[in-house]
Amino acid sequence: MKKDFKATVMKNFTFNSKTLFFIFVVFAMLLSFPSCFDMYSDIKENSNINYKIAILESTPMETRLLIPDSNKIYSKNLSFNPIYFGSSTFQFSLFGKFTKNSYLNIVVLRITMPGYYYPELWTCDKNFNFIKTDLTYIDSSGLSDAIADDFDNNGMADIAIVTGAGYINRCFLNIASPENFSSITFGTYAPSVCIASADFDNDGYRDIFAGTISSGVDSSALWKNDIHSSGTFQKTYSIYTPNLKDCKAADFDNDGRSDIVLVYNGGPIQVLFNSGNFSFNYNWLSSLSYNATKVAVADLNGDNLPDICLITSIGTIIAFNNGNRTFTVKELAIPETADDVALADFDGDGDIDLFLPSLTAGTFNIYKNDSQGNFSFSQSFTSISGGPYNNISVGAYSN
Amino acid sequence: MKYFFKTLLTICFIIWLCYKHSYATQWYDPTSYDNHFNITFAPVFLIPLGDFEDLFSEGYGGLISLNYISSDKSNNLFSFRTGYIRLNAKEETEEGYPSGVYDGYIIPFLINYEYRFSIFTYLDIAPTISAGISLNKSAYDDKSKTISGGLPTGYTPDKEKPVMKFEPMALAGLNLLYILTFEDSIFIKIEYGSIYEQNADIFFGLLSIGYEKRF
Repeated sequence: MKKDFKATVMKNFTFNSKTLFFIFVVFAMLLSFPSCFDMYSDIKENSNINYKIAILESTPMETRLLIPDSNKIYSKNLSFNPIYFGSSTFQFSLFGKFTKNSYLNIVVLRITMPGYYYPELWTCDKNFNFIKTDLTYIDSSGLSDAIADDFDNNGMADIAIVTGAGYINRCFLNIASPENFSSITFGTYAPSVCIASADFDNDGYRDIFAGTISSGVDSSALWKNDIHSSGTFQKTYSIYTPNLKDCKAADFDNDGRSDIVLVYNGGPIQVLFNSGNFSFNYNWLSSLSYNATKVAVADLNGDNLPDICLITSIGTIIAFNNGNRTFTVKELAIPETADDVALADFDGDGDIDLFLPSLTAGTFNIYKNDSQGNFSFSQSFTSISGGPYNNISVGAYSN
Repeated sequence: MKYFFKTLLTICFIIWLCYKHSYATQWYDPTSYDNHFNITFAPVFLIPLGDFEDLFSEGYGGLISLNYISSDKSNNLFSFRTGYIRLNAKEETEEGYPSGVYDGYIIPFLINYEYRFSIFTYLDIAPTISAGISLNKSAYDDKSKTISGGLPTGYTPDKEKPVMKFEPMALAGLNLLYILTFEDSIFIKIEYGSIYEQNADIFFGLLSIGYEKRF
């Protein structure tokens, strides 16, 4: 009996081993076939790993990039486009993924283009060795605000600008990186003051809100991105916004649709809640009016709802989002009078901090968030000598 | 992907070569002919390497392997190997920034092959390779929606977003066994492993110290 059993076992030995081997090979081959095995690389890319905030400061004649050192102090700065002697071109700079392969991309636009100084694209490697490309297809003269976003969904950032009186709003589509852009106009020659972009109709394409201080056909308008079918932007909603100073888009009521916040010189904070189909049937107005100049949005108290931070003549104001289409307004006890605001996680501790540049003092100040929306002074550094600055941009980069 | 295929094919070729050309020299003890199962238990310590090192500081857990012994005489050992390895996330990057990564774990499902040489009476040494899949889970702060074109969007990070995926996993190393009795051994196994990723180098070292029982 024992012999029979052993004989059976020996007979099956070859079969079992070969079967195991076959299973092993097929199993391994099948598993290696699917193309997406990027869990840990996705985590690395989308988490805080090596995530730093760079600051761009642009003055009439110069642009510089500030990057943090290992102690998160903004001591290192890199100047671009050496001063054009006698030709003040008024820089306006933006971060954006304008090329597919470069590490950090910066576009420096010209508000005036004396002698035809072209806008410039600066790309760099991880050692911050920059290469300049003249953007000869972009005429950014007359711009009053600009934004970098991917409007044609080709994976590269485009540039949309709104302009002052006598110029028309334009969107420059980045069609062949790095220097080939095609231009689309939208709006009229009336003065525009601010621009915001978001996918307001959730069709997968980024739309534009262009803010003006004009009335009638020149009122502020929401422009539906129809580039993929008609090749242009279609006006779908308009609102008269006299004394408008700045605007931003965010989903304030967490309904999956992007809303708009508007701030005025001598008016209340206004939030237009998106009710779909390019209609904004409900809006919130603050009880007090402010002389506001700039607005930024981000979650400042860690409740996963975007809050509103605005610069006013009486100081920095934060409207904390209550989540029910109302806001609680709080004035920050910060001594400096700021002229602009940028929100980002400057110290890398996971919450959003305040960056407040002061034109009068010539200093840039960072206020650290305690994660509850309470801010305390963190660090200060000086503006470019010979300012004043035209715009401040912040952007994330990794290394 | 090409690298992974090449590695797999090489592993398969080595297994085939060992299997075809090895002459079994090692007899099991006649008194244990009727014991057809071998089971090993081992606490393991994982040391992340490469890109893995940016996410996790170390891992620890346990692995078991099980095989059926169908012959009285064999140097070849095929087994199924599984277990649980908990990963401790790195709190900060080297530059002091929070990593945004939280705890994770690996549950491997591997086919293991060893070829055992007897170097002394009570000492065996065995090159070992394992391949299969692993169920990997991690949680991290997803900041992908917070930036668009380099500019903050106003959206907040998706906090502690859990992700779970099956991914190919392979191990290669050396096993050193000390034979206590005909049915009991203790071993130290040192392995170099990889979880296959297209855009990252996920490597790790694995140290196992365990006990093997035949029953």
